[in-house]
Amino acid sequence: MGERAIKLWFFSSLVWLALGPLIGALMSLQFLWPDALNFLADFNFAYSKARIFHTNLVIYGWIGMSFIAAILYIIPKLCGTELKYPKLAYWAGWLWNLAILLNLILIWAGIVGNPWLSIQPYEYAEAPLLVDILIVLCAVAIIFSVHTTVLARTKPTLYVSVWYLLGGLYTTAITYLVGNFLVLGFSGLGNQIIHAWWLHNAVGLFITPLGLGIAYYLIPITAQQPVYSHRLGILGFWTLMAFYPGTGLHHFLQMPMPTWIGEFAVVSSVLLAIPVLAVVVNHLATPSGNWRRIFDSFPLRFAIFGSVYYLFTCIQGPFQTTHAVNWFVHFTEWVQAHAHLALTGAFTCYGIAAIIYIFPRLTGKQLYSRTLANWVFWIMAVVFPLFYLGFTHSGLVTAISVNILGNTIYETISAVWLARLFRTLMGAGVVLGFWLFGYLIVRSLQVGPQFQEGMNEIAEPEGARVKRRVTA
Amino acid sequence: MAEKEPEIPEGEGRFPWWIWVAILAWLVYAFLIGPFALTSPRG
Repeated sequence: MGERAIKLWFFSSLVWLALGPLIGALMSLQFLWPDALNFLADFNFAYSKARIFHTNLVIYGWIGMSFIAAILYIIPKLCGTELKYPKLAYWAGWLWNLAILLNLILIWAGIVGNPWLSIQPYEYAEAPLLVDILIVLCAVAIIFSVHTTVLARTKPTLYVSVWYLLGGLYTTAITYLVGNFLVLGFSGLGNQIIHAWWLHNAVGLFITPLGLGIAYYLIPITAQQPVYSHRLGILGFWTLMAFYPGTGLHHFLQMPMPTWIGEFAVVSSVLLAIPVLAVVVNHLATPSGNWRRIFDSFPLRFAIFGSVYYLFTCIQGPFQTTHAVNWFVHFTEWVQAHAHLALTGAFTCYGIAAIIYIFPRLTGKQLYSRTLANWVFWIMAVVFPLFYLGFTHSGLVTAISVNILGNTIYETISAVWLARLFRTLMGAGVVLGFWLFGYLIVRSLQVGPQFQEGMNEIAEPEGARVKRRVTA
Repeated sequence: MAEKEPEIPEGEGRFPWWIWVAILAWLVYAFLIGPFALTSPRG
């Protein structure tokens, strides 16, 4: 039953991965040809709704579901026991899917003035209250199942992944409750301060600890090396928990807000350098001495790339919170580029690494094509950074044009058109990579060779096998 | 399933010295140089 739950969460996440980024790529057409998507108005659809579809599907559909699937797999392994209450985790998966579907329908319907069914004006928390309640029910079920599994462990110590994953589930719950329920009790500036706290911590206290916990599991296992440092594991976890909650308000530095709140957010963001370096040093030093594994092991390759993107994201993040940089890049696409570096770069790589590692162990089948897996990898390693650079370039040109030269945004649009075209083309390439990945998984269910522990997750091509036999 | 799982040993590694230099440089920039030398022209 535990395996059924993991499969449900995994395969559902792939469906949302196929849809969420595609909507983003389609939305980008409107930046090139403003009338391109006008026909959607006939279907009661608009850019603003498409954006909510895009962010909600990626955050809750793809990243949320693939990470929870990985947690349901990893926690029992690290605790030396079976998953407790697997039926609960299984039905929570269906309820989560239902919540996402209902969210899409209600956002599309755009009901006005209904406290339960209307879109809410909070970024990443646009889901109507009814959907919020369903998500909370799922989260409670998952936390209950995972925590009871940890309590029933046969191994005396808790590996660092367990801290991140269990701690991350609790911080997810707290953040979600604050951002979707507590915020409703405040009005005016207080409402927006809580909103800002939520919208950054949706990444920092939900996606980050879960993603890092998954990477902490995958990297040593696939590199076949001990984790570089227990000490840095402790330092990274507790400093993340200490500094991250204070960072959210840096989003609103350019708006009227008590100065001390903004300064507190800047200082917290600056101090994030410590957990980030602790995590990244630990991740990148772990395969040291056995780097050859990166050629054999796709999960290791994706996880290491995830950590490299995480490093770049988290160097960029604290920099752009400082006043010296923030006034310059705020209100430009630089910020969205940064968000994509985190979610499409770092955490999607962790999600893909987890699926490639766990798929054969769940289904008993290897992934059938090394060539296709290589395509997905090189798209994430080359096309994605180009997409990110197009995005960033567009942001920088806007910043120079508006903030330095004093142009209006309308005068700037033609200057960034080419960068936006490049972004759209590269973004379409990234979406293609996700579709190829989905195809690789689904096709492997049908034709993947038999997998046994100790074998590579991805089948070697016939030619390579023959060549090796001849050499031997 | 669970029994086959190998333990993940944890080492006793520390930050390399240049990471401390990077952290120090970053804190000096963020708290001492940036706020005074590079603040927004908007004030």
